[in-house]
Amino acid sequence: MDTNEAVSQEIQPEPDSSQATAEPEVTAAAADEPVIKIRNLSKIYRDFWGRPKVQALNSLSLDVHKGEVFGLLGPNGSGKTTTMKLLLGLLFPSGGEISILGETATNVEKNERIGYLPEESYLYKFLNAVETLDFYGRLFNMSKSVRRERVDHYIEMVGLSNAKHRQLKEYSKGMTRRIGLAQALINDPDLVLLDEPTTGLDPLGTRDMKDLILKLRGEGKTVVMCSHLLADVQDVCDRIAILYEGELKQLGRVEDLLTEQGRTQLMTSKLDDNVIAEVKELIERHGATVESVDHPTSTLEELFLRTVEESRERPGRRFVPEDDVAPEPVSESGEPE
Amino acid sequence: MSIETEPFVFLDAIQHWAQAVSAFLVLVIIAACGLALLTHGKAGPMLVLRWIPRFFADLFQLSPRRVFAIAQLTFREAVRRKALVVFGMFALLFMFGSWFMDNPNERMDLQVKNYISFVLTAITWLLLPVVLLISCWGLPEDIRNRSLHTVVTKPARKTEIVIGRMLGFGSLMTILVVVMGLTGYVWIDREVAHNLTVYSESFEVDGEETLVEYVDLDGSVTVRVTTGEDPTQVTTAASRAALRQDNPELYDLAERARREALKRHLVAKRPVLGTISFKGADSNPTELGVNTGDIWEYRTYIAGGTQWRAIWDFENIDAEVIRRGNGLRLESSFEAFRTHKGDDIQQSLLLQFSLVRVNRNVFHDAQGNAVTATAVRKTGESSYVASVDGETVSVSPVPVAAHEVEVHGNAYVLIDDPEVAVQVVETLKVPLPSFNISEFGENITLIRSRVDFYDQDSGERRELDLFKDLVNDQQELRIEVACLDSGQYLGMAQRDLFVQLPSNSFAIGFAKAVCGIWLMLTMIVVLGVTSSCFLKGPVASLLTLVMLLVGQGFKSFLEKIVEGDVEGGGPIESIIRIIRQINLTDELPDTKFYAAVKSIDSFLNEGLYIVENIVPDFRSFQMDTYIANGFDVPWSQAMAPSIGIALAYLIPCLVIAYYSLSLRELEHK
Repeated sequence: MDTNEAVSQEIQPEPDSSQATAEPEVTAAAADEPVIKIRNLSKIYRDFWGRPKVQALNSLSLDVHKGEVFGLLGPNGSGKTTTMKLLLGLLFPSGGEISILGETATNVEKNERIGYLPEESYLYKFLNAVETLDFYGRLFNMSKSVRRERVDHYIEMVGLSNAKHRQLKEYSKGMTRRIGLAQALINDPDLVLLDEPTTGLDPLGTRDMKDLILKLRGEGKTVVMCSHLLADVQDVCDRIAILYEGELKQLGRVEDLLTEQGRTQLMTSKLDDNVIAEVKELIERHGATVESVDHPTSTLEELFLRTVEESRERPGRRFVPEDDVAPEPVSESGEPE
Repeated sequence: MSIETEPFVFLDAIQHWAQAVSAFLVLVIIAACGLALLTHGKAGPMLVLRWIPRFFADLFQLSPRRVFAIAQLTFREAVRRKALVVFGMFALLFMFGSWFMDNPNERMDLQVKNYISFVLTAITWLLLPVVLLISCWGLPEDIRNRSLHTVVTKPARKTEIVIGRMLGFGSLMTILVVVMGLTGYVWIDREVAHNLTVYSESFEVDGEETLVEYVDLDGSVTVRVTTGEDPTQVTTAASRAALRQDNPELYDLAERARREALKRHLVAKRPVLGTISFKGADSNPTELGVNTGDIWEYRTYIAGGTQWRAIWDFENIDAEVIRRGNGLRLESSFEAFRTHKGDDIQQSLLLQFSLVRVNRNVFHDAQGNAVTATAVRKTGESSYVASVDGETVSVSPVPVAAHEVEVHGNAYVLIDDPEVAVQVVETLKVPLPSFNISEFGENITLIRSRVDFYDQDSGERRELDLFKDLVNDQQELRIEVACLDSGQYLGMAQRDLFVQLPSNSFAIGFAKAVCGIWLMLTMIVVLGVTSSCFLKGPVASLLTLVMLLVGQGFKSFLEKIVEGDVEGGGPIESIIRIIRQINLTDELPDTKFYAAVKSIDSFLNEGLYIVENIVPDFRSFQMDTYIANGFDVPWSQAMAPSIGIALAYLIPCLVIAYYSLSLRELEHK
């Protein structure tokens, strides 16, 4: 067994107690057969003569359980997309085993229950949105009435009703991602594989995508996504795996991996300087040190979303943050005028 | 009566196909296992073998909805990639084609031939590159753009993808062929009608035979009408329109004659071919006639004014055909070779047909063994004896069919067993009136069902029934051809004389020829899609093109090489002959070196044998020659083999395409 294998063996997912306390429904599911089971998976790209060119994946082992959102992270070339394509049977493993929904990766039957959003839009650009979804619906052997219903539903859901008769070659990148998502969901899949789902989307689209992923989880579906937009992954994933140069480096629940047990963070409503001094004193009296005291910042995403929402509600007005709003004049009785 | 000389036996074809495909597939599996052993180690062959049953499983789970979805997508893709621009090219050709093709000085039948050849060639060569490129580039482009990833990650099976692709390209090609075929047909019809400015036809009008002659030249129209015993009426007008206005009745008559003439020019004749043999100057049978030095040797000759005869034996002559056609219609065209010219050069040669009733028998002894007919003697009305191994045994005659007999040396023998001689007895011979042949055109001879005959033996005139008296019990009729001009020679080949059945309509014959083009393009689609499953677009196009070129242009040459009919030996031997300047006909020295060269060549020949059998015979799809020359496309010699070839390649190609797509990594970098 080489070093890489040893590493992957060490970080085999284990149903630990922290998982149980965090989300009981995931734990219950974890006892079931995993939706995806990968064991010692390796992939070596070879040249025309069969000589090894690149080791894209090295002895990867992990499980994905029903109802969880699983994130595959890593820098470019770390093996995320290769893993995804091995799961889909687009590549054949050089070693190891894959079981997906209880089937082998090359078995076509499994695709009945899988939805796949590719990294870029690989859809047929000469079709329009309706034709695209209708085509993929037919590949799932859906009847005409079901197809019509789902096509309308998903076009509405991804917000492309106004552009549904335009050819995809005329779509912006964000629109293409949306129609890509719609085709991935057309069969109401149990397992959704999303390759860089938020790439190319504006913050609103990103938020919608993340909401949708959470909604899918709420419906009991399993979502596997790979991305290098860490904030997005942190927002939606229950568990993540971090790959580097084809090897698994981290695997576990997001909270567990990010929580710093050696430090404590308090968050209160706004305090004046005296109160702050008193709290500091109290903390120091108990032998701890205060590292910093300041006002928390929001994320840029939140600010952007608030701005857009405000602008939508009050067109023509410049957005003013809540903290900067002057207090309304108060009458003597204490009622606002 | 059938127009087919050699019926196409589908059962035999299927048996042959099954053997060839099985052998091929076994070879492919062995090669794949070997390759897998090299790339995947010991587990490799098992991986390959595990895939074998999947094809059948996938085949039985085909979903028509998915197949049609992929076919429709393919169709749309091709249309949106501007594949229909070819219509524009086609329209351009036909808009201006007649400028260069109309030639009033040309014989009408040759003009018609040009028009038909032009249309069918244009359809073929305009569609061939389009179909080849779209079918070879479709899948590789899908793989390159990764669009196929979104299909294979759905429950679409590889068989469905391949069949869908083939159907999609096939349906687009079908539309192109049908539209172009229809346009071409209308164009030919209009061109021929437009250029038919001189014609004469005779037909019955009010029960009287009427001859209508029409000439439309130099801005004036002249119509001559001769009815029965009445004197000829000549009418002249400035134009057809003027004729219509001035004399509508005459115009209708002229139009009727025009329609008849059109029918005569645009026709799909149905010839019944016979087998040809000769009788020499000594009246003995001979395989070939006289060779007058024509290096191509398509025709051999009979000497005029001698006992030389050309003999055609026709089979399957039934009474119904004779009754319906009120006799037999013979069409012939012969080529003269003159040994003396002078004033005779303008005179056509004199020819005579004789109808002969013949019986062909082989003789069997009591044990049923065939006995050579030369040793047979007649001892009674229907009793024969033969000398076998010095003993005289009683033998009985067994009739054989004309197609089982050939001339070998100076005797008739069985084709299957040339050791067995066949007794051919002429029981009745009826010479027909002689006639002058038209050398560069066709001679039509109608043999009525009642034949007048002067019996030289009895010195009486007799009236014979063509079917009862001259056609033998096996429904065979022999026609003997003699040239009556001394010192002149007449060239004959099998197709120079045939019985003409009632013609088919030109539209049907033309549709069959277009169908031939369609079958060829279907083969291109099948080969193109198959090769594109394992090759990139340019290489797949090249492979398909090479198969087309070899199957169309070099197949005969390949066959000759494989059968050892090409002088100069195999590739290595021929190179050595070139370098060392050894003549083709010279024997190579009997040394070990040359023995080794011949061994290598024979090994390479085996490879060529495989190539020859793998490459489809595209020559079978060429049916334009039939219709351009005014003949219907025969079923057994053209249509059935073409359909058989297209079907035969479909299944192996599907298997190859399935495994190519299944066993390749679509995402491989």
